[in-house]
This record gives sequence, C-alpha cells and structure tokens, in this order.
Amino acid sequence: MYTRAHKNRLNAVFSLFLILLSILLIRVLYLQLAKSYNLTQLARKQHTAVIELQPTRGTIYDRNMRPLAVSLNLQSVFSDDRVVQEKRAAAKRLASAMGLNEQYVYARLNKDKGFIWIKRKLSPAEAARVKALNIKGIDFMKEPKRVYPNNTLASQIVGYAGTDNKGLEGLELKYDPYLKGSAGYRATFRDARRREIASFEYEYYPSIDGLDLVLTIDDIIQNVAERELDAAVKKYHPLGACIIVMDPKNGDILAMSSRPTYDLNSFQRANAENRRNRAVTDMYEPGSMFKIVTASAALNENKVGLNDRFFCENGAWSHGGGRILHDHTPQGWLTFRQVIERSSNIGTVKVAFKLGGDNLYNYIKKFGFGDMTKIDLPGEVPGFIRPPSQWSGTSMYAIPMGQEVSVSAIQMACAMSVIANGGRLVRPRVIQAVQDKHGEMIKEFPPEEIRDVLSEKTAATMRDILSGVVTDGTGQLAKVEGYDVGGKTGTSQKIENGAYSHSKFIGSFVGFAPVKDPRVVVVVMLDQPHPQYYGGVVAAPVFSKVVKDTLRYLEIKPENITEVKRAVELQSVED
Amino acid sequence: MSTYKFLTTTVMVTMVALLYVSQQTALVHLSYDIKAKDKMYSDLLDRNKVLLYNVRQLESPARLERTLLAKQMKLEIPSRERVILVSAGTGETGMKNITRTAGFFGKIRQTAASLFALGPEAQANLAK
Repeated sequence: MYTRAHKNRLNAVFSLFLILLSILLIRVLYLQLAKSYNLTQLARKQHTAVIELQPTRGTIYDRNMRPLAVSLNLQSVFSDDRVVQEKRAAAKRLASAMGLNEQYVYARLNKDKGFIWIKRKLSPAEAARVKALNIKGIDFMKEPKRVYPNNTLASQIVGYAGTDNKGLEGLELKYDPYLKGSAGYRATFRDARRREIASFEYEYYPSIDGLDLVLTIDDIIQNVAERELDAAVKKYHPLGACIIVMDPKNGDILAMSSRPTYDLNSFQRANAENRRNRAVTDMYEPGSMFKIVTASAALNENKVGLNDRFFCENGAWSHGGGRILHDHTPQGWLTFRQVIERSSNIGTVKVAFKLGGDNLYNYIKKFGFGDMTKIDLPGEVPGFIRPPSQWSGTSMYAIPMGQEVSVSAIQMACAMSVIANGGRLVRPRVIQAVQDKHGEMIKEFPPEEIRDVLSEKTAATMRDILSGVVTDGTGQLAKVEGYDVGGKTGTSQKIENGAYSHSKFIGSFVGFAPVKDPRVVVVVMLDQPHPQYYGGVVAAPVFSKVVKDTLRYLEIKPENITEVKRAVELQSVED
Repeated sequence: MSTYKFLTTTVMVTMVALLYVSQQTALVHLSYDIKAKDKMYSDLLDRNKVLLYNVRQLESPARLERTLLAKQMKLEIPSRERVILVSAGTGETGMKNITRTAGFFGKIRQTAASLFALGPEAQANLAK
C-alpha cells in the first residue's frame, strides 16, 4: 500500500512535471502566437533565395551588322580576408597577375572583411591568371561590362554606357529605353551552405534582354572618313574638325565624326570637348558654302539664267556707309555659272538682290536652316537665321554669302542633299531599325522626306554648276580620279570680340559624287586650321580622298575610265 | 495477426517514407548538377562572346589598316584573270577527286600525310 509519504512524493513529481509542461506549453504558445511571424520570416530568409536576373544590354550594329557596342560578362575578383593566408605573398602574386600595385592589394587583403573587391571587370586573360593562382579566399563574381570593339570609331555617335549599364552619351543615351532591357528574378530554396536548389524554384520572372540597334553607319566608310580627317588634323592643326558622309537619297548617315575624339573603352578619361559631336552640336557661319542656297533659290525662281552676266566690280564694291564688299580674287564680268564657280561674293550678292530678301529667307528656311534636322542624335542645335523684318542694312550683303547666319554641319549636308537628290529635303537618320536578339524587327525608322525644295531641273542645273566649281573653280583639290564630282568650298571668318577676325577662319567643303547620280554627300569642316585655312585647300582634299575610297567600296564604276587608265600608267612609270 | 499487420504497415510506411526521402535527395543532387552545368553553359557563352569580341577587335578596319601599313603591304584589286575560285571538288565539276590510296601503302601514305600535313590537292577554277 502507498503510504502518505509515497503519495506526497508522487504528487510532488506530478506537480513538477505539470509545471514543466505548463512552462513548455506557454513557451510553445509564445513562439507560435507572439513570435510566429518573425520566426517564419527568418526561416524563409534562410531557406529561400531571390536571385536578380540582369538583362543583357542590346548590341549596337552598323548597317552591315558588324557590332559597334556589345555587352560582356566579365569576372570581378573579391576576397574573404579572413580566409586568405600568407597575405604578403598572396598580394604579390595577385598584383602581378592583375597588373596592380602590390601595396594596394595588400591593403585590400588586410581589411579583415568577409567581402572586399580587389579588382572589378578583369580582362579574360587577367581572370585566367588569377584563377591559376588558386588562392584560398579569393573568388570571382560576374559583372556585365559595355565594350566597344572599334575603340574610337564613331565614338561621338555611339556614345557610352556607365558602370551601372545606363546610357550616358550618344545613342547609348538617346536609345537607352530600348537598349537596357528589364531585370527579372528567380525565387528558389537554398541549402545550409547557401547553394541554390534549382529544382525547388517556386517563382520565376525572366529578365528581358535589351533590343539591338541597327545603324545606318557603315564602319568601313566611317573608318575612311576618320582616317582622312585625322590626316587633315595632323597637317593643319585645327581646334576642331568634323566630317559627315550621307546618302542624299534617303538621308542615311554613312559616317560622321568629330575631332578631337576619345576612346569609348576609357571614356572616363575623355573631357567634354572630346565627347562633343561637332557635326550636330556646333553652329558656325558657313561662308561661301551657303552660296548654293542663294544660287539654287535664284534659279528655282527663274530670277537668273545660267548665262546672265554680273559685273563683279573688279573685286571691291562699296555699298554705303563706307562698307566695302571684297572678292578674294578681283573679277570683272562673270556669268552666273562663273559667279558660283569662282565664288564671287559681289556676284552672289547681286544675284540675291535679283531674288529679293523675302524669297531668299523663304528658301533658307525651306532648305532647313534655322530648324532642327531632327536627326536621331542628342544635342542638336537649330542654327540661327533672323527673319527679314530684323535684317539690318548690311544683311543683304552678308547673308547670301553665308554671313549673319549660323548653321550646323548636318544642316549643310541636308542642304547639299537637296541638290544631289533632285530637290527633296530628307531627314537625316542614324538608326535604321530596332530588333530583338533573333533579328525580328521591333521598330523601323524609314527614310523620311520632309518637303520639296527645288525642281528636278534646278537641282540638275545646280549639280552641273557645282561640278564646274571642282573642274574650273575654287574646289579643284576635290577632284576624284575617274569620277565627276561637284561641291562648294567655304572659308568663313570667326567672330572675335564682336567683329570678324582676320586670323581665325573655318575652312570647309561640301560636295557630292558622282555628279550624274549622286550616291554620297560629304561635308568637311576644320575650325581654325593653320597655316593654310582656305576650304578649297584644307577641306577639299579630305573630300576627294574620302569620296574616292567610298565610291570604290560601294562598287560604283568609274565614269571616266580613260582618266583612270592614264593615272595608272603614270603611276607605273613613276614606280 | 494484429502484430503482423502492424509490422507490415510500419514497414510499408517506412519504405514509402524512405522512397520519398531518397527522391528528394536525388532531386537536390540533380539540382546541384543542373546548376553546375548551367554555370558551365553560361561560362562558355560568356567565353564565346569574349572571343567573338576579340575577333571583332582584330578585324576592326582601323586595326587592319594599321597592320597593313606597318607591314608595308601594298594590296591592289586583282584583275579577273588572276582570280581563282576554289571548287568543292565534286564529280559534277568534272575535276579529278583526290582519294587516298587503299591498302597497306595507302595507310602509310595517309600516316605520312597526316604527319606532314599533306591534305588533298586544292582544285581551282578560273572565275567565270
């Protein structure tokens, strides 16, 4: 039988267990009710992983699908300082493999942190060297990097994207919404060693890669244009220079470049001056190149005929208020054709008077001056032209020959295209299409005709006159062996302290080729070249060389075979 | 009888549980394999991209021009008579196909050819 003592002991043990059970129950209830949410979150955080899926930025191609900008995933090296042994020796080996300063690497390894970057976005060769070292505590992580295979080629057009894959300049900036794509994510479980368990993936939102841009630029023509521009810059030391090669029929920009330039792969070192696309962002007085507008307008309005004669005042014409208009070479009586061929200022102004100020202004606007060309590049300027109501007494003596008016190089290219393509103003374009990774067209940018400016007949007559500028006039250095070309030289004075400078000039040339069926329009502009500064001397030879190589590349047969044969024979004799 | 039933049920439940666990383990291992293969695949794709980029860099017009200038290579467009097109060497073209000799001597010739990199002779046609 149980004694009282037994009973008491039994009760005590029971009570003790009851108390313990109650404590346990309270703890369970506390955890389940009060701490449930936090603990569930903590567990979920430990067991699951949400991995961000980075999109690949779209590629930028030239018109022949040769890449101008691509994205690569490159290895970045980081260290877990607490794991790395013999840090001094490790630093020496790492520094040597990555071309870094040994002290710098040693300092990084001594931060005593679980994660610290040693070097980001290594070249594949560097990454291979570091991997071969097999140092414990040194690991890799992939990061996207934007790279440019042609370095400086078309740098001001293509632009660049920063470290965060965001477009910062040029087309990379303007078309960033197309190029960047959108990030996705993947939610999955992970094990105790934080490794992802792919088969337990429970949520997947794929990233969408950026779209590709197909440009109108041709990298071969671009290279030719840049090569010749570089040669001119080396010879004439201008402050800046630019060149545009354009297809006059559809407005395709085949090449466009400015000097100074910069390497897209090290854009951080480039200053704003080098990054500027002078062909669209800079305004300048076009000088005699602008005479093509005055002449075209007068012809189109039937105010002059080809053989109408103008007296060019033997080189100096006083037009009131003590102001004298000069020609660079004194001329007497000249036909209208000769006025343009010899670039007579006096003759051109007399033509403009026959045309009238309002008519001249209307044609200037019709040619697109004073308005944006709407080229798909950032930073375009509209240029400047005042309406006739604001013209001064001297404006009619200045505007017809390209003073008191500011234009951009792209506007000049468009204006010459009007003459080259039979009278239509076309919108210049740099982008042909936006497409996805499989080549499927997403958006097309078709050629756009803005308006008719000249009649076919006027355009043809102007082409004929401008071919005379090259054969007999001021642009003889623009001649291209085997082809008939046309163009107009321009030498304008820069404005210094509110007056025209007599030492600072802009030399330029705008032309087209071949005359019969123009395939390219080329504008060359050199800002303050020296010691020579005439457009016909500094810019026309650049035009000639670029057109020669471009026409051969485009497989346009020479028109003047005899001339080519003679040149080849002469070359053989010289050799 | 009831003990037998109990034991049978227990064994079956255990078997099912073990099967389930082994499946899950296999699934996890498979995931690791998939992950490793996926990483290898993405590494290879990245490597391919880098190599294509290198090719593009080597083919860049400016670089080619620099190289040609540095080596003083004067290239010219060849005349039609100087252009030959390498044919596929099929019977249709009427060209002689070079076949390796069969038999013992044929094998010796083959070995020697592979050692000294002697391939089949190139067939050439005048450009039409």
